[in-house]
Order: sequence, then structure tokens, then C-alpha cells
Amino acid sequence: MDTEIDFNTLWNQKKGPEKKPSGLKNALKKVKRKKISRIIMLVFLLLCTIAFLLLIRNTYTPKLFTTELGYFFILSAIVMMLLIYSRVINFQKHQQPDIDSRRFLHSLEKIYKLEFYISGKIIRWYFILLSLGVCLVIYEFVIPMETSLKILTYAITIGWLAFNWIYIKPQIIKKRQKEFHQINEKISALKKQLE
Amino acid sequence: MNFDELYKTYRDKVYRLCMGYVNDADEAEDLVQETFIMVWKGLPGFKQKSSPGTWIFRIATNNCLRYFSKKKKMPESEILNREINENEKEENERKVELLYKFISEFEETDRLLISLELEGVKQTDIAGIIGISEGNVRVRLFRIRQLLNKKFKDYGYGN
Repeated sequence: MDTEIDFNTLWNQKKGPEKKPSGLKNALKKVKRKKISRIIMLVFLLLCTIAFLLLIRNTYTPKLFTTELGYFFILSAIVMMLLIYSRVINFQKHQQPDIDSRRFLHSLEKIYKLEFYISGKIIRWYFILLSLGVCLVIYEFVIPMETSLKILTYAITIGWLAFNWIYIKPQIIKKRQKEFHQINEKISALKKQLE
Repeated sequence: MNFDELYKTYRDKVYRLCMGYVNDADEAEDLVQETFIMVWKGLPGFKQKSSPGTWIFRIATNNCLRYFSKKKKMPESEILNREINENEKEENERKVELLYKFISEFEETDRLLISLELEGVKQTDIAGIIGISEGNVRVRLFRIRQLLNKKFKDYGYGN
């Protein structure tokens, strides 16, 4: 084999930029601060949502149980979505970083599959709960209305919910499927390299 | 085991491994930082079944493999095809740059294999880090070295 070029010597000539461990510790603090600020933001958004729903509830005190139930469904849907988007539920933190690469890739694949499956379920439940919640909440407001107005109100509401089900939800799921497919393909390619 | 000591001993080694993988100084720096954050977090639970070096290289290697899921500052092809300015670099420095460029053009796991070998990690340990047999490591490294020689030769270096 051609040994004229000493790869080892060339390799070792590369030095990383000088950085002290304290710089890394600051970076670690920054990561922690970021995580805490994400939790604070989540709590803030949750409190805002609850305050907003309480404000509506207190402005017009519901007489029917269905309205209360509707508020509960809407709140649950928003909480579920906030939990996913704030990334407080982090599936990847359960990944062991110090196992061999072959096992690491297997475990990474499993984690992504689980993450995709759970978030898919949550998206589905978000739309179910939100639709149910809205229908239940408006029920009390619609009762005293004239029949034509009742039909119009429900037609607009159901139309909007249908738009969410037929257009928005599939779009979100399609986007997530595309992301998942790309990740899965990449992991499969990496696994294949180790066969 | 002291984190500062580990950091001092392995920082450059991990940096080179990451450079071999991404061939981009900023991206490599980010990978090094993430690796040592994981080392910092994992240190209390490290049971010393393997040497600290092997342990750190495992973390760094896996972090590199997860690189695809992270946001990149520029497209991969741009990193790999970036031209080396021949006038500005001295010959030796140019060879170093070429070595890292050529390595980053290999398949991901081949990049890691050759980087670990050039870093002086034993083939038995490389097999343990990557999760393939020692024989497989040996065969693949032989092929990678041949390819590296060919790439240099095509560039006008070597016999």
C-alpha cells in the first residue's frame, strides 16, 4: 500500500480553537436556562388560556353542564398541544448516548417511531376534543336563538370544524409524516452501512 | 474522575473526530460542545467498564450519527464541495485540509472508523464503539486507507 502520505501526522495537526472548560459550563447553564424558560413560557401560556376561559365563563355563567364540559374539552386540547410544541415531553432524553453505534441507531429509530406515534395520537385527540368542546359550548348559546339562526350558527361552526378536519389536520399529519419518513430513511441508510 | 481533566485531554481528539465527520469548523465546535455536555451529565453514572476515552468516543460518535437531525448552517454538499484556496495555504496545511475534506466525503460510518483509527484508538475498541466485528473494522479500514491514498494521488500527491 502507498505509505508516502502519513495520514496520522496530518490528522493530528488539526487543533480545535482554544476553549476553557468554564466556557462549556456556561454553555451548559445556557441550555438549562433555555429549558427553564421553555417551561416558564408553557406555564404562562397555560395560565393565559385558563384565565381567558375563566373570563368567558364568568362573563356568562353557564347554566348547562354541557357548556362546562365543553370548556374542559377545549382546555384539555390546548394543554395537550402546548405540551407537544413546548417540547417539555422530550422523548430523546431517554436515549442512552454511550452505547455502541449499532445499538444507538436501533434505539434512535425506536424513539422516533414512538415520538411520531404519540404525537400523531395527540394531534388526533386535539382535533376531537376541540371539535367536541366547541360544539358543546355553543349549544347553550344557540338554544334561545331562532331556528334559522340556530342552523346558521351550527352550519358556520361545523363548516369551520370540517375545514380543520379536512384541510388543516391532514396538512399537519402530512408534514409530520414527511419529516418522519426522511428521518427513518436516514437511520435505515446508517444502519445499512453497519451491516 | 475530574471533568476539567477529561475536557483538557479529549477536547482536541473529539474536535478532530467531529471535523472528520462534518468538515466544518463551526459545526464541529457545536458537536464538541454537545458531546461534552453529555459527558458532564453522564460522568456521575460512568461505571468505568471501559476507559474514559472509549466512553467519550462512544458519546461523540453517536452524537455525530445524530447530526442529520440537527439544523445545519449550510447544505451538506456546500460543506463537502467547498474549494480549498490553494494560494493561501501552505502545502502541509493544504494536505491537512484535504485529508479532512476527503474523509468527510466518505459514508458516515466510514468517516467515523477512519477518524477513530487516526486518533489512535485500537481496532478492538473501535469495534466496541461502532458495534461491528474487529475483522470488519480491519477490512473496512484497509479499504478506506486505499481510497484515501487514491484521492490524494488524484490530487497530485503520493506515488
